[in-house]
Amino acid sequence: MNNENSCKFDEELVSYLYGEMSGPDKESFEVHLKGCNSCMAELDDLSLAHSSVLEFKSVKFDHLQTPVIEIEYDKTRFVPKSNTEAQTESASKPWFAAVRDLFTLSPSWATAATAFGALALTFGIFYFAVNSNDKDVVQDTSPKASPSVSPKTESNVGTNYSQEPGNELVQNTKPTPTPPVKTGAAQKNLVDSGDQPAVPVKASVTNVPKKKASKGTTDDNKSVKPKALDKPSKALPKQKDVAIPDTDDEEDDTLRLADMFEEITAKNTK
Amino acid sequence: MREALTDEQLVESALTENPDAFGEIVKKWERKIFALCFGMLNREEDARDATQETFISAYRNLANFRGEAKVSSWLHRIAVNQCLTKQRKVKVRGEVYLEDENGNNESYFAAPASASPGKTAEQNERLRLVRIAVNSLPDDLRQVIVMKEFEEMTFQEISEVLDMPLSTVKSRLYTALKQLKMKLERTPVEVV
Repeated sequence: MNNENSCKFDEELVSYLYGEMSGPDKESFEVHLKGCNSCMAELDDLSLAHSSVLEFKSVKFDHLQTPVIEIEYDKTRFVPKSNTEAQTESASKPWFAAVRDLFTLSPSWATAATAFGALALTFGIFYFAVNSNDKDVVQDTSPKASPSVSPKTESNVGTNYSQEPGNELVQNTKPTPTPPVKTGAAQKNLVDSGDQPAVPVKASVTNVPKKKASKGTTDDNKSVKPKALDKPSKALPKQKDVAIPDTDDEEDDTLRLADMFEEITAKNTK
Repeated sequence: MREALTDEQLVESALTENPDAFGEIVKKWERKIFALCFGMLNREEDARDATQETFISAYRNLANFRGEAKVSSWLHRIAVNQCLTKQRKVKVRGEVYLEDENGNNESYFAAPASASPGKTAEQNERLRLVRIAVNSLPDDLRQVIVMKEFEEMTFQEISEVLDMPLSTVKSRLYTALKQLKMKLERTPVEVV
């Protein structure tokens, strides 16, 4: 059988064979087929092959169930850059770069941390400032006596009164370092303080009629400079010779003064 | 009513917001890809494996899909590569891929229960020859005939998938059918 087709209607044959030719094209080709044995023979050959494959498919494939495609959809996979690249970058990143990236990635977090730190710092400064002011206030608001105090200068030697276990006022004769200059209520009742800067009172006490005191206690009715406290004072009551603990704590001084006043007052009432 | 998304839109959705959108692509193409794989491999088990691997590979490389070609073309290309890889592995292992030596492969044939044994044997033999003839075609011709016969795609669809002119598709199919005819005529049907 001569398989060569002189008409060269190869494309039209397959289109017609598979039913993809319609309208005027189909009609005209059918007319041609009726008059062309070669094309009819070609069409028969193509039909045989086509039907054989179609049978093969219908018998062997059509009854088969479509396989179930199982894919684990991972939402993290689809990122602009591959996950491997991101993981590689994060693994090789030094710690400081990671910290920097943290601030870069979350500026709001960084801002909040900075604001919190600033608030904490402000609060700390305010707290310490208030505490130091409170110390000054406590020191000057002795309820039962209004001691005239003299400010301390740099030349002054700080002497402190310390409270004996028996509530006796003792004077700390050891020189103490000059405390920092503070302002406020501590400046009232300054006597002979023309040349004295405004410094808190350390240990000057007046109007202490009789109280035991070690050497170096102040004279009564006088604003006593810290230096004067070094000299033994007759006004103060006798005091046992006891070791006077050295302390620079103003609060302790304040307490000892208050106790001393109480004792004096109590004795006077007796 | 929501319009059906195109394959390219589904890929974009799967890449950006909804990985499950790839499932829509799978549903649309799984039967055709399975048919393609079966037509290329002629073994159900291998066709299932190749189909699964095709979609898994497509999903893994979804981010690399540039959109320059159609999704159908991209899937078919992956599927054909999977089938050719499987065929090469079978050849390397020396397996008789198409049929056993006796030509009797009960697992390949699902003969109708109503058919007589004689007709069944004749049919089996005929189908065996068809399978041999199809598998003996060159890859480019075999792919066109499998897409046309097994996947039942139109010439226009095949043209788009293979990214070739319509006339080329028709010409290749014509050539494939002609060669099949010649092979079937050469091999007489032997009915035992």
